[in-house]
Amino acid sequence: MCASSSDTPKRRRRPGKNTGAGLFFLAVGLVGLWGGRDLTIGTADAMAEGYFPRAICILLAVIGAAILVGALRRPDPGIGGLGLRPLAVLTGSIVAFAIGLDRLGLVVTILVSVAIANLAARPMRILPLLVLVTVLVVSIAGIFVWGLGLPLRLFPRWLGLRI
Amino acid sequence: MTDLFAHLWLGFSVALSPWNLLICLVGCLLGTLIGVLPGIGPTATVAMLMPITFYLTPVSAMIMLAGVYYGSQYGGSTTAILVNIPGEASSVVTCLDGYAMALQGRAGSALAVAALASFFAGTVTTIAIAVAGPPLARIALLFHSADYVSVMILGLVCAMVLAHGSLLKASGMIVLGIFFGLVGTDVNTGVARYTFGIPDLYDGIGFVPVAMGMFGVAEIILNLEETQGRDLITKEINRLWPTRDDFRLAWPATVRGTLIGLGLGILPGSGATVGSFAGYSLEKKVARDPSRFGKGAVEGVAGPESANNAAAQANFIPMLSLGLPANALMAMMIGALMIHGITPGPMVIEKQPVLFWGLVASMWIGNLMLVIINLPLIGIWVKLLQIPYRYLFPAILLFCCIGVYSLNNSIVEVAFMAFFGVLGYFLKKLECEPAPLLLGLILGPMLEENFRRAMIVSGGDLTVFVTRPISLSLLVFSTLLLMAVVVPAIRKGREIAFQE
Repeated sequence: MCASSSDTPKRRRRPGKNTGAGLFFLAVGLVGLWGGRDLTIGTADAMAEGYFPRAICILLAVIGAAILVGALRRPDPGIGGLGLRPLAVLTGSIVAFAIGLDRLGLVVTILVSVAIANLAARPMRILPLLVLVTVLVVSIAGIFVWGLGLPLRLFPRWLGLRI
Repeated sequence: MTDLFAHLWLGFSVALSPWNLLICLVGCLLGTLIGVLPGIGPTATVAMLMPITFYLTPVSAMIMLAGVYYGSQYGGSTTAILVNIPGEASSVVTCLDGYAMALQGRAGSALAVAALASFFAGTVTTIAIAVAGPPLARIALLFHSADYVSVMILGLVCAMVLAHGSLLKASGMIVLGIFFGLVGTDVNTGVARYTFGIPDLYDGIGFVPVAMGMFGVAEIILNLEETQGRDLITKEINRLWPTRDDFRLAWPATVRGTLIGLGLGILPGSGATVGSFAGYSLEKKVARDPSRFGKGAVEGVAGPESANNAAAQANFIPMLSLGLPANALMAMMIGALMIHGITPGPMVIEKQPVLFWGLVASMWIGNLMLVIINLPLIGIWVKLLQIPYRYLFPAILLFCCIGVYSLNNSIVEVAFMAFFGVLGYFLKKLECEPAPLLLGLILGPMLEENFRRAMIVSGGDLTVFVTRPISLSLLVFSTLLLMAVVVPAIRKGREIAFQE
């Protein structure tokens, strides 16, 4: 499904839910078979690393095909509207967190991540935003840095602060 | 019997230590809090707490996580009754009659009935775990690898049968989960599978990023997409104590709900949600006047509320005695134990008596705490509900991020969480539920390991699964269960039960 929704342009008719699910499972099964083609199978009484994965991938592909067949025979409700904005914004917020944590320190990273996440819904004003960031910085630093001793900096290294 | 008392004594001495009492209280309060708040469930919370439990002793870790689980059952019902918002999936049915009671000005009664019914169920189930756990573990010691494979198949079949929606999609999600579980270095041969040369994948895909992605991030995206404002019509809470009539009707409903929840909770693959639905359907069936339901029938609160709490706690029975997770959340608990170097299984009760009995005792204490604390705190919980979601979700998101990061100090795992969030979102759009996937992810490696061992022992002979009596009976039971759902007449009934 991931593949089908991102590859095909949105303007076309949306694929059905069952069609999408069937295609997705089928695709993962086939990709798994292809990706594991170099794994040794072994024999039933002495299975190598490839035996179980092949069985699982075949099973997955078969289930996918079965769902697909069912979808073609019965009416298939279309996928509802996709909330691409929250999807993109939240993913962006997490990625910003992952990239920023080591480089920018906790405080700036939290500020940036919250500011990005804030774009997903009706944005809050600047003051509540700063209050939220402060609460988060204090609680996260309190629990994870001071409480659990996670080796994280609060501020960017180049500021030269010792916390 | 004297054994049982000696063990319970040990358990209470562990659970009543000041530190563990505090931990239990924290877990229960946290559970109630996330139970009250829609959009964050116990699975994501337990995932977030995982890194913190690393710093506790195993028994304290379990006490806290268990408190979150059953605490969320209490919290979920509070909002269901007062504002018609199910805080948890398991309290969806409580909305029907609980909110109707609130509209009639009987909110206090409904809350008290829900709390007392949950407490009764919690007490009975605690006793059931104490009585049934050890013998079950002794039986489990007779299990060979082939039997384990069959138990897991039964568990997966249950997960399929009890999942919402299409059976095929649920099975697809399970197998997909098993597939993700394959990633990493094969323990027997040391060959890397599906790692694409990424070093972070050599140890496999951790289930914390998967759980947080699918239950945390994907949920937030879906919630934001719906963006429907909450209308809070809180009615005044006048009397808290139920009337004599309420008691008379609620009492038998509570007993029935407890029993059905207990029975369902022991089955692998089910959980509190299924329990509450079953409890409600049962009450409606046995009621002399089913038309009262949905209009404030007190049995419609007592039945599902006792059932969901009983089921939530009974889930611990297969987890502690067999090492098998009944649902995604129990899988997380197993993960938490494994972080501490304890492999859950039949030996745990014998080898770790402090852990098992301490946990059992703490469950009863926790239930008592919840009844005592919650009734006076209801006002605060309702206030919390008025916090707009746009303030909440960035906080939830950041706690997910830092939680995943703190587990292995790994930024790559944070990225995995984002990936599984997106995947979970799309799968949800396709009406594929994430819970079976997580179960598959956890059970997959165990399944492969035992399957390979069984095949080595039997010399590659598949009939070993039908010649061993334990394995055969489990497989027969799985088949019957599957047939029962596939047979159309019964399937129709199941759909009706889920629609209610």
